[in-house]
Amino acid sequence: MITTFPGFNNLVHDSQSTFRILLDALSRPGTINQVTAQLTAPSGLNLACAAACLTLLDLETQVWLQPELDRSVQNWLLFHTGCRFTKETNKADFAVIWNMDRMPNLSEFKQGTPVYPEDSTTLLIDVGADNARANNRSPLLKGAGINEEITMPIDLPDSFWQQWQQNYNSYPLGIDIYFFTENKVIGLPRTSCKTNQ
Amino acid sequence: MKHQTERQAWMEILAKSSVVNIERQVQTLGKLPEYSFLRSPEIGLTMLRGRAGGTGEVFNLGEMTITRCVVKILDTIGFGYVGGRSKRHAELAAVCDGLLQQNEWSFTVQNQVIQPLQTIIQQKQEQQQRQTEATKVEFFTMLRGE
Repeated sequence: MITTFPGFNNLVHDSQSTFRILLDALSRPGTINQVTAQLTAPSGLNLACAAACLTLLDLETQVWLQPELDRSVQNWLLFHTGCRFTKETNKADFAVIWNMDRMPNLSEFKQGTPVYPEDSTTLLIDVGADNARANNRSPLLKGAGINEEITMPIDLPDSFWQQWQQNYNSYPLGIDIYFFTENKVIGLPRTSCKTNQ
Repeated sequence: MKHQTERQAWMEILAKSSVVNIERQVQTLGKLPEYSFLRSPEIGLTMLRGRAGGTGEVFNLGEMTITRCVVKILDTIGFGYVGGRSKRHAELAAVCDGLLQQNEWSFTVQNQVIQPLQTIIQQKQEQQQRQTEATKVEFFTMLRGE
């Protein structure tokens, strides 16, 4: 089945501007970055996540889609990026996650190797609009790219933060994460750590 | 499989015709339905492969430029793949492919676009053949008298 959704309106400029925003998001963890590109995303992906997929995926990337993601998303990604899909989380270069409650443990993804630590999975997590606000439980982050401390602007479960601590401890190996809500991107690289408050 | 070979035939004709000829024939259709791009025309390279003598080992002959385009027209999806770098050519090929898949359009497009184009291609081919034929040299082996 061929997708009926178009990709970026302006392929070159939209993908370049989105790439710049993704770079900024990962180099300044915890900041909110707005995707400016316009597109009609298939159901199941929000705008920022869809734009990031179109920007990052290509013929050479292995993508793991969380099960039960709408079938139209897979068709859409295949048509516009030509990426390959894998069922094994430890083979994936990118993983698209739409339901955090049922996502696999972070350690199940590709961690990279000491020679090639960059060869690890990057998670693209769609967190939905409800989580997209900080509250008094929101943890503070520290690490590279953060001036002293910053409040993580989205609400994430405690179980996630326990796994994240392990991921942080395994530096220089480990995964990096992008969180997407509507048209906003928040980066969480492996160098960021939750402070004990 | 009949449908598939029919489609292959018109795609071949659209790819082999010049953009000027397609444009002229498409004009005769009058007002076309609205369409949108699923994949805007883009230029790329493709590797051509061949076998020596048709049976030898596969080898890479070289790369050629192609332009491709996908449009959505009246809920059908039309594909255009053409050689060269003409974006308009790919777009028109995709539009025609989309229309040819629809009952209400296929007859008109077949008659007013595909058949004239096919005639032009055939004429060109015959002319080429005649020109080649004219330069043909017959070699005779003379029987030597003893």
